[in-house]
Amino acid sequence: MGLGPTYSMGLGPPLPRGFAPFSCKKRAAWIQGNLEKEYSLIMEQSLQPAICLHKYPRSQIEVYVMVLENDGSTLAAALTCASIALAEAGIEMFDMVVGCSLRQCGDVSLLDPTAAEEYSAASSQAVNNGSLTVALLPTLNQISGLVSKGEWEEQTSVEAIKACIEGCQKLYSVVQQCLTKSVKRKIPQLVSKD
Amino acid sequence: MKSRIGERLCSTEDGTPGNGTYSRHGYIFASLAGYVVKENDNGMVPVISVVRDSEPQLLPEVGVVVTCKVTSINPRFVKVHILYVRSTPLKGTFRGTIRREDIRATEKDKIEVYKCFRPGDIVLAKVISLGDAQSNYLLTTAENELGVVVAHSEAGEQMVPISWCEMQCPKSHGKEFRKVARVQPEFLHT
Repeated sequence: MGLGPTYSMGLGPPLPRGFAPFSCKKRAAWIQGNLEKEYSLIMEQSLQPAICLHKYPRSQIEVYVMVLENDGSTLAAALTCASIALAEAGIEMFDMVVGCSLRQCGDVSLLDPTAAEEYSAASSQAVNNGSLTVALLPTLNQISGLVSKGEWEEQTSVEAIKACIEGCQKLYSVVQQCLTKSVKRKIPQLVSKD
Repeated sequence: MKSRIGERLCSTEDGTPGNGTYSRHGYIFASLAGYVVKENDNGMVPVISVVRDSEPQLLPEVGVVVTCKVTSINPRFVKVHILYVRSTPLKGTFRGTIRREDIRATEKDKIEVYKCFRPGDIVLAKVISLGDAQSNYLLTTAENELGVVVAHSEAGEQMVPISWCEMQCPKSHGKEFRKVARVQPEFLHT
């Protein structure tokens, strides 16, 4: 996140994000491609509303993501991880960001698809063939990011978004447990004050 | 009590939001994952804050007195490195600028920068602005208590202040011009 006019935070340079060459089935180049740039933009848009930017004037918060193994739903996983990393770093946030993705193929919908199950345009289904990634702020119950690919019928699309939101809420408890454990580990000396 | 990010702590009637919290719709929420600390302020509403690190991030804010070291001078301004915010040392230095017109409160047009500061001087200054994206923190020394506290003479010895605008080297007895900070009464020993 960069700096715009005084006391208001504007969009900064896109978040560097990379797929390691060994992460995907087909070996990728080290140089950022279009997919990484697109994901960087989505991540910045999804993470920005969660952070208390007004508490960091004249500051730039940079988040770097490196995918080590890509077996589908990387954007959703990256969003969740980035938000946990920000919380662990002590950056003040209004709420966590949890990501969840869904693959729709005809009448079948799969939460958190693997790489083989992920959306490909060359699928046999003509209608309701797509993938969806949702970034949710669980406590505030607000969506900060939504990416949809493919062709959807209106009703299916709405149901898919609801399914993703439920998925995010389920993931939220795991995220909180993880942070609580890290707090206990990091600040053991304050435990006695309880 | 441990807090999670986004957890509702209490209503704004029972406390005021402090560090690591934010208020919304009449309630106080935690913005950090840590321990909730309640500080009672002698009868007033207690301040609720969330503590995570033993030493929180410290940034220079407007109106705060900082200790800095002069890195370069120029007829128009002085460039400094901010070393301490109040009495806390910073882990990394920030850059600051003292413009010519902010060195002194009186006779601003007759200021000669090289007669006020030299590179290497330790200066007490006050932050007047955080600056914008490209610039440094803007500082001022236009008060009696602000200005040079430690300076070395051309002979290399630490100088002793003799007036608000002069310092003297104890070895060579040479006087040099500086914008000297007035020593606080509690530090004067007769």
